[in-house]
Amino acid sequence: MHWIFWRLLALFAVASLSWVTCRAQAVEFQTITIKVGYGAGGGYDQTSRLIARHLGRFLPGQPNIIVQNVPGGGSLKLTKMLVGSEPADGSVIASISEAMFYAPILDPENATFDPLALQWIGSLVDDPAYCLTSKQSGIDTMEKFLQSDFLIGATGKNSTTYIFAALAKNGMKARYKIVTGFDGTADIELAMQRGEIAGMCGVSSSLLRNDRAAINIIGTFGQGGSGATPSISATIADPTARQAADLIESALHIHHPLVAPPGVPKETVDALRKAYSAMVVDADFLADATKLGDLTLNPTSGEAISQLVAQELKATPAVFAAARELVK
Amino acid sequence: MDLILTAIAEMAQPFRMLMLVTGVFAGLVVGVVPGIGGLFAMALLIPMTYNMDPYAAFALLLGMGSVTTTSDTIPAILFGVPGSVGAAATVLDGHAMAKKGEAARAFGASYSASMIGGVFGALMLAAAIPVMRPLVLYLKTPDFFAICAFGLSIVAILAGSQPLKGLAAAMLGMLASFIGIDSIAGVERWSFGQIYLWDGLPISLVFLGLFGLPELASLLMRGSIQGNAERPTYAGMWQGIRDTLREWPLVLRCSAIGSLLGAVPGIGIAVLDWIAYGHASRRPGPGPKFGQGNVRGVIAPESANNAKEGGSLIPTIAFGVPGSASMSILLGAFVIHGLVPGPDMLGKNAAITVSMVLSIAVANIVGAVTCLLLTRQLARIAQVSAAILVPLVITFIVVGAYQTNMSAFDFLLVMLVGAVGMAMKELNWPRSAFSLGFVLGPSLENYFFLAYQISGWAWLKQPLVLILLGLAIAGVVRQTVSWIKARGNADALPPALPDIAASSALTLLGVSALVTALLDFPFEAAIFPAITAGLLALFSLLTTIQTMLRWRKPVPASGADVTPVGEWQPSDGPAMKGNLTVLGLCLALAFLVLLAGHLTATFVFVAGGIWMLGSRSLNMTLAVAAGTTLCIYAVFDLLASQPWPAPWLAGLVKAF
Repeated sequence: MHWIFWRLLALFAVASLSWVTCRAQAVEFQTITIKVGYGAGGGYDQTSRLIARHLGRFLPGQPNIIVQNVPGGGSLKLTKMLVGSEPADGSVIASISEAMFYAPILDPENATFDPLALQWIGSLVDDPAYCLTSKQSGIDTMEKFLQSDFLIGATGKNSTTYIFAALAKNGMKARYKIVTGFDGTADIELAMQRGEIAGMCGVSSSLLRNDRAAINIIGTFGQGGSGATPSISATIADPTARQAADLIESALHIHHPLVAPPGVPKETVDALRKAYSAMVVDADFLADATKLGDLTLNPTSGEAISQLVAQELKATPAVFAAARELVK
Repeated sequence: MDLILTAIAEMAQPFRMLMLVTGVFAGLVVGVVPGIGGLFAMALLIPMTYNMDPYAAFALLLGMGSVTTTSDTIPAILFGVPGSVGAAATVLDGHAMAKKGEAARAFGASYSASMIGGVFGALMLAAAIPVMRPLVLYLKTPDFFAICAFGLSIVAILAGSQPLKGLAAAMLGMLASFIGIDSIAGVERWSFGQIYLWDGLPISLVFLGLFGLPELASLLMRGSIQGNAERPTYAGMWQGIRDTLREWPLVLRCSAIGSLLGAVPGIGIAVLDWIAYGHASRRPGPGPKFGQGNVRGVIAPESANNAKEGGSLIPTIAFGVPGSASMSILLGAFVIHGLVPGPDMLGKNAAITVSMVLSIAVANIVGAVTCLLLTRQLARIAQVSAAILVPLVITFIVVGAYQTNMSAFDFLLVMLVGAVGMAMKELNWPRSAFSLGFVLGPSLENYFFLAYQISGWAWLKQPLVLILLGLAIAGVVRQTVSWIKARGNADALPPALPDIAASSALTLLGVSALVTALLDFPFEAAIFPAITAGLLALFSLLTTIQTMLRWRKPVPASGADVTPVGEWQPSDGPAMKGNLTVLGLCLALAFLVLLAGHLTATFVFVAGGIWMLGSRSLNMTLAVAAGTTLCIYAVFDLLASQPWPAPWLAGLVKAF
């Protein structure tokens, strides 16, 4: 039994020692955990594992980075954990949905956190989203899209596929119905091919590459889309609703973001941001990133994200109310 | 033909074969250890394939994915602990065989059935290549609903000797599956404000608790897995292999069930396992009853769950729609290697598709042969003292459960479900029916609402829907008729008083669930839970009345000549004491893990547990404890490295 005692003692010694060293040098990283708000294998998981392979090289102390999945509520669970209980020493950072910054506005009952407290490290993708229909549906113009009765597929009520479908429907007073409950975008695509539904909204350009011949692009969300396709929010007449649509669309600029918990010291956040910015231009990182085929890298720095978020959240309560109406 | 030769030539390269074999060994380890699923392991392996060519990458990934369902039977047969969710059905008869000293036979039967099933699934995939796309496009959303409804009708077969209890158990399982945020209205259902419950009860945890913990209690009471002192030999194993070969029509039918249902998104191994098991139990054949060590009950699910891998690749390759959860991770690998699911996979990349078929087939053969070679050593475990085994197995269950969310709720839930499982086991509420309800509930609800949103009620007229629903109803009617005929046969039944308490509690649960569903949830989110809760209340109430009548008017004690039917057997000893001991041990270990971290906790717990349960040799105790700790370290820290939360003691040290 003595052995166990000494073992325990040794364990405590190691634990306390590592704690002390952790505290002594604030911007020297030991091990970093990237927690992912989604299950293994999805887009957020894949980009996090990609970042985990590279980010450490650019941080003081060259920490080892591990990935942990904390799925739940479309990353709302992890966001709440981040604001509430995660260690604020830079040892835990998180990959959450970019839409989390306005979750407290759209869903004030569940998303009970201060979105301005999140400290953004950077984001990988800035890409418009599209509404598209299958060729066989016959819905090939904006007029038909607005006037006809047909079905648009979506996953859950909190997903981008639903939010953007609802935004287009409510914003432009379209007549289509939204079918919820599909398992993912591939599932929706298959239902389009079967002819069960006509199309979907809120999908990124990568989906267009797959079978461009079989689909019509109806319109885009967010700036930067190809000039030929009409912008959906531009057709919204009411100025408050228009501003609300802009707020929702702004998340498209900061797709796949990394955030640090609120209490992390400024020097640590700065070190993380600096490393992130260095990583996204690194040749080895870019070579690995091209292997995640459907990813068009277009990074945004943490500072820029913070500015964008602060700017968007300055809107009036009327705009927030309009936003809630738009995605209903 | 050229295509096949090209694929064989590509696969024959040493590095690719090496990757395949590496994948197989990784998959075998992942399958044996509860808590790390194939899903997580695949996500870990994918970044390692970045720098490989597609043949090697898919050899590694499919090699791993194909054999987890071969080795997950090892803990299922030996301890009654399913190594993955796909082994839960194997527990019932496999573990019963091990108790009778037939562990080697059960292993022989299960590995050979796994191998044939796996190769069958690969052939099915190969045969489907030319017709894949029209086939998948032919099935519409309502058909998926009908398939799930048909699957649920199997509950009637699994219901056992007290059908009302079987139906109630299935409803209880379905009700449990509705906990969390629903996918139609997006509201919380019975999550009591706990973020932990948003995504529902984790299925791996539920199966670990439901099947693993109750078996441990009876193991503790018996003293070792196998009652008699017969030495296991290779003869038993060969007998098992002969069983599989003799039952070849069953093997092929269940392989077909596995590969066909495997192709349906939303129907995972957890579902098709029970369907295969239910199918086999219709014709039990010679030997003991189902649930008491019938070898057909091992062969059926094992051939089905290995056949799944090939089947679930069909929609993945043809459309990029994952046929199972691990396939959605595999899709990530497609993208990394520049492959686009769809026509290309059958055209210019057809050689890769064929190589996947080969990988699955070869992996299943290598996996099964490896396991067969280990059989004699593994079967010997059946004679090891329970004093050593119980702490060991509890460690893997509890630490494995903790992997789910790294939260104290994981411990709480596994013990709670374990307690429910113990009660169900003692009082003859079939856990198989509960499981099927639990795994099918969400798919049923989701496909129903999709079908309804797409075409109102018109989908009920589609031919395949009509056929499947008709078959389901016919099956239930046929089973009901046989229940009515069999009524009044005096079987051994569990004690009346606790049974009345349990069924009254379930009635209350059903009623309160019904009321809260109707009051709190919006209509779309309420309808399925309300119907389920209503049926649960009804079946439990009827059970209560039935049991009360039995209690008032006792059947003349019929002595030893009565053979009980189904999963239930009269408990062989002071079951309550065993159950409480197991739960107490779980609680102690959970506390230790939270207090001092998983490694220290494992060592202290295994040493303390063996000592408490009455081992004499101190050296042996310490050696086993050290070995287990090393094993836990190797698996959960080196192989599947996950960050562990800081134990309380570390926090305490910090405070100073």
